[in-house]
Amino acid sequence: MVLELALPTTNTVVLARAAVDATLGVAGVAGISRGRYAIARTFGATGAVIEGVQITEVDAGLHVEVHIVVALVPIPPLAAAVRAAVVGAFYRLGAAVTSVDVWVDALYLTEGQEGGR
Amino acid sequence: MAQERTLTSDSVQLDKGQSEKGLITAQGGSSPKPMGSGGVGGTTKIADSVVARIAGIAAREVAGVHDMTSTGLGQAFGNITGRVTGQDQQDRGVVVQVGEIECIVDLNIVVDYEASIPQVAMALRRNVSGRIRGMTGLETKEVNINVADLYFPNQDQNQEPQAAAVR
Repeated sequence: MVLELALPTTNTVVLARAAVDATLGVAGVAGISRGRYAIARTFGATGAVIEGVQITEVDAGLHVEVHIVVALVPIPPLAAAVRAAVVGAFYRLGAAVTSVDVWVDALYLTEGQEGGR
Repeated sequence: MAQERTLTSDSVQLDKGQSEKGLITAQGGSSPKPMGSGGVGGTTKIADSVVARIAGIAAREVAGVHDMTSTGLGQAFGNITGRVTGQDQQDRGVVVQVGEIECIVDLNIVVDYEASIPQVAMALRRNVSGRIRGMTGLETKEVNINVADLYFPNQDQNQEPQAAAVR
């Protein structure tokens, strides 16, 4: 179920935007992906849509799914950093997060890293 | 190629350097670990295509590997669509099968003529498995190598006059 209002004062679009900003602030994250098989979206009450982040309500709080494109860096520590950044952003907005799934959908390579012959 | 692999997301365990010791769970994260990031759990899902691209890049780094080449009709079709859409070709010649904690990599390569194929194969296995482990935490169970062709240094020079003669 997509949560329409996580808290009385913070709607999901605000949370999703915060998640996107926090994720893009992590070194090694090259961008936000829309999702590989289905587009991950967060819908707001006023028609606003944030793609690449999906927020669902679970028993004890919120479950967040973030889809990212990464640079050529080790992924497990990067995912941990993304998770921490999202949790921190939500904490500042007063929202409780129970889990953050990080989907690495694609790899972004710069020209020198491509190595094609 | 339509699967993802899933790691546990436990940053505490990852910080202890255990990310290479099989912290990987099945897709869907049936038992997410509520640790790290202030008690927040979750899973990390890496697309197969990402693993394949890492393997392709690692393979191209090895001396003696001239190029990677497509295998089978599916990959050949994928290459055509990739060229049309401008998609990169780092995973060309690479097929990965990703399990819960390990993966199998199949490589289809073109080897430089003067290179020793056993040495190239050994270097490939070492480099590809090391890169995948370092980048994703996956253990590589097998690196199967198919030498599809040899590249001769004067091959391009020989082909140019022929092409000119055709014109």
